[in-house]
Amino acid sequence: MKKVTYILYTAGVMMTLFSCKPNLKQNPVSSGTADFSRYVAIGNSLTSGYADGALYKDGQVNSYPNMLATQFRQAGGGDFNIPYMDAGGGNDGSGTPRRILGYVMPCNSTTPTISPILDPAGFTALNNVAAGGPYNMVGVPGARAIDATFPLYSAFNPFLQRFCQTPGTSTLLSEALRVNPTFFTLFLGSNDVLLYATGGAVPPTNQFSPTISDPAAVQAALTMMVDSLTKTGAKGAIANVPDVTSIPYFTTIPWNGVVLTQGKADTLNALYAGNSLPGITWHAGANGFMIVDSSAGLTNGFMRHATASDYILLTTPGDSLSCGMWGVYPNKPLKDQYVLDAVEALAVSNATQLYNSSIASIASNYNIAHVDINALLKTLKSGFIYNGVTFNASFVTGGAFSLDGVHPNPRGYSFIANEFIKAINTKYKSTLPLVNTIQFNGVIFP
Amino acid sequence: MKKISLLLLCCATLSQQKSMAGGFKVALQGQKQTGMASVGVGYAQDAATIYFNPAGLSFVNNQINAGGNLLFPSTSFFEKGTNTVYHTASQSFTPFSLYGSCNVSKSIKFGMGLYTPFGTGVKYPTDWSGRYILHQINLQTIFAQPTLSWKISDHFSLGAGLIYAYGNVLLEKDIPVTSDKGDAVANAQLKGKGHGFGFNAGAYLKATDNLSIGLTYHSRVNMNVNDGKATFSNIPAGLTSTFPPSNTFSTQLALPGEVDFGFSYKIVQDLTVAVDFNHTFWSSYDSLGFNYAVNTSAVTDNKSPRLYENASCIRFGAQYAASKNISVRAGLFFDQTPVRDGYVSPELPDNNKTGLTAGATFKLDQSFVFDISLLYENVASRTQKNIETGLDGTFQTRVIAPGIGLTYLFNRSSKTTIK
Repeated sequence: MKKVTYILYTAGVMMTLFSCKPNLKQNPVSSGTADFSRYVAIGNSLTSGYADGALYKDGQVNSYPNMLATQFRQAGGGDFNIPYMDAGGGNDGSGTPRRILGYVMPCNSTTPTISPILDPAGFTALNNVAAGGPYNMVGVPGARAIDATFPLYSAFNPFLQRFCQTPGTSTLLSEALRVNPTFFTLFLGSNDVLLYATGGAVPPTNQFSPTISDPAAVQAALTMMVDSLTKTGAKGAIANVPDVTSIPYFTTIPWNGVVLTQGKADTLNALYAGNSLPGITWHAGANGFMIVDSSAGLTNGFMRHATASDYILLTTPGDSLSCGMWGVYPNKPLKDQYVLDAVEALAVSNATQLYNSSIASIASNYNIAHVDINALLKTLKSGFIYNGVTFNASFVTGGAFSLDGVHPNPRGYSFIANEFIKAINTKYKSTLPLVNTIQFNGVIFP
Repeated sequence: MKKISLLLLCCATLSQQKSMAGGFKVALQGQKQTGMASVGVGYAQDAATIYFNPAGLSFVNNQINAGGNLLFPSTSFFEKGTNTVYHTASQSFTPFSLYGSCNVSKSIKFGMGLYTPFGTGVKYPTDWSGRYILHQINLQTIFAQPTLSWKISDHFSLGAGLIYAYGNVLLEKDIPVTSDKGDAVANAQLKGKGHGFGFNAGAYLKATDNLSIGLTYHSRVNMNVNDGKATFSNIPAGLTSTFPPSNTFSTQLALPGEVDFGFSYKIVQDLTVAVDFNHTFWSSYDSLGFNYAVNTSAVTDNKSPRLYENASCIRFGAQYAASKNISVRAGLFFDQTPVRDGYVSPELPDNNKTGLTAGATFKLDQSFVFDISLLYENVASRTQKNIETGLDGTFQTRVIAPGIGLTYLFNRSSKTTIK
């Protein structure tokens, strides 16, 4: 009996030696060779948290710099001061609120469909928060790389004006330096092509009209910024420019959205012939939209069918396409402002490549982390699955873009934050944890 | 015996990196057997042999044998790259078994078994990173098995049983659509009942007074679930046509067959050792698919690959008659996982398993025997990225299952049944 007790006792000890609960441990978080105590984020709308066509408070909260600052805080990071908007529908800079998903009655149906609409809550005035500065988040919607060191810019850009120290004198760079940063992230250059592209690459009408920025000027501006930021010993990360033509703004409306029966094609052919445009023909099936193109020549009425290399912009009025015969009738070709044509798209893509090679060499010259957002967008374009959720670059259903088709939604911004974290961890041997994407909202449905 | 305990302990410690009856098999079919790492193919101790080897029934006295366990699994997940460890909610399950036997003729015995050989239950925290893959799964099966055993000679018997299987399954996951109506998370629940048929068959050779050998085959059981309920809740109003609020589904789950070989040897009068080898044909579980009655753009019939591989398990058990009325036992097993790299999923975060068991039997009087057992199982931690869902991280599971059993012996003159 004694023996039995002993054996049972031994068995008891054996069992307790193995704990009943799994023992997976969290990793210690370290900053490596970086110092995150005073972090500043410099950039454009993508850095400000702009989404759904406006800057609004929830967007700022879900911006990638705020996500980064949250992770930095686990490794010695300090407070992250954000120039918050008042809560509400936000502002695109000209008094238009954000978009939300709502019900819209399409022109060719009696059933309402879910589509982006302006937030009925209305816009939020741009509040002046200069007194609360300096700010760790210097994200200025509309800012190009070439604007970032230009003092007068703060007098023109309402988003910078509302929080900078001295409008007309302050620059993005000077605002960033006020924080005396130990760590910076710099994400500029997208607007140097994007504003031109999102406007349909229309010819400039005045000196402020968007054009493609000279790559040399972009390089000079970015170099000057990194030089100033690193002078005091700050470390940082610089992100490159995504190929903007893969964003939903350019890809949602198909180039060949005119689907015809043979009968309708015959009718159109007769119509075009009657308008002395016999060079333009239609066929049964999917046809390219009719777009304005001066190079098409007088005999074709300066019009041609769109091809797979042309992009129809998301801003093209949908009902005019569906019911107004836009892009179909000879008197209604899609205007230049709604189309980024093949030549313009190539110019955008060439400039992007030049900017990105400058950005890569700046990163290596100044020995700072290089964040490949261009590669991230390429991955998103081909689509991937993350924790059981499919993400791609489609509008609304793709899960990563907000309702303006240009800026990410909170989940999309978290992918950007994670690209920064991966690059920073590699460069500075830090062990910052990645952001959990699914804790953020995707597109919100009514 | 002291030495043996220590030896078992060492082996278990060294082999932590390996890890049990893989997959969603639950090896708790008899208290005496559980105490010896579920060894029982070549060691017919009591009526639980109806499961382990139906031929063994010829060599055990008529009895009623009932037992049950409290099963406490505990799983953790560490998501790669993050610093978050998720722990499953504490749950307990109650696998049970009930066996009875009687004589039909001098050489033929009839037995009836009721047991729970397959099951799994995991409930992850609501905020965990795999919530769009799985929030909760609960699979339970009950097998009812009428059995005949034919004693061909004093040394050899054959047996077979017919299996009717009944089961129910519950799956829950979140749906990645967010509503503007607040925090209620869109969610899908699949709930169904199914049943199927199968059989087992075995041969038992009592070669000498000290050595017995057994061979058993368990057939595959296809569980068919028809008219399961698919419920979608908290769907944004604008998407209700995409996620019909009530829908039905059908599915089939193949519970794998297996072949087992085992023997037992009485080393000295009071000490018996036994070894079982199991090979389970998990490759029958190649995919998990759901067919919905109403299909929409978001609710499509799907088939997701599982591609399980056949897997083996080896079990060692020892039993020592400590006194006239008390026996103690211990066991150790190594169970190979059927789940390939890239296919580990939250429904079954499986890996190789190591198990340690202990048990004891107390003879209360001529008719009643009381059993206790304890199972501890470590599912080795496994780090990999699921090919289908992209879930990337480390799973680890531990299981503890204490159990009790009671046997009533019909034949009071028996002296050989209790070990």
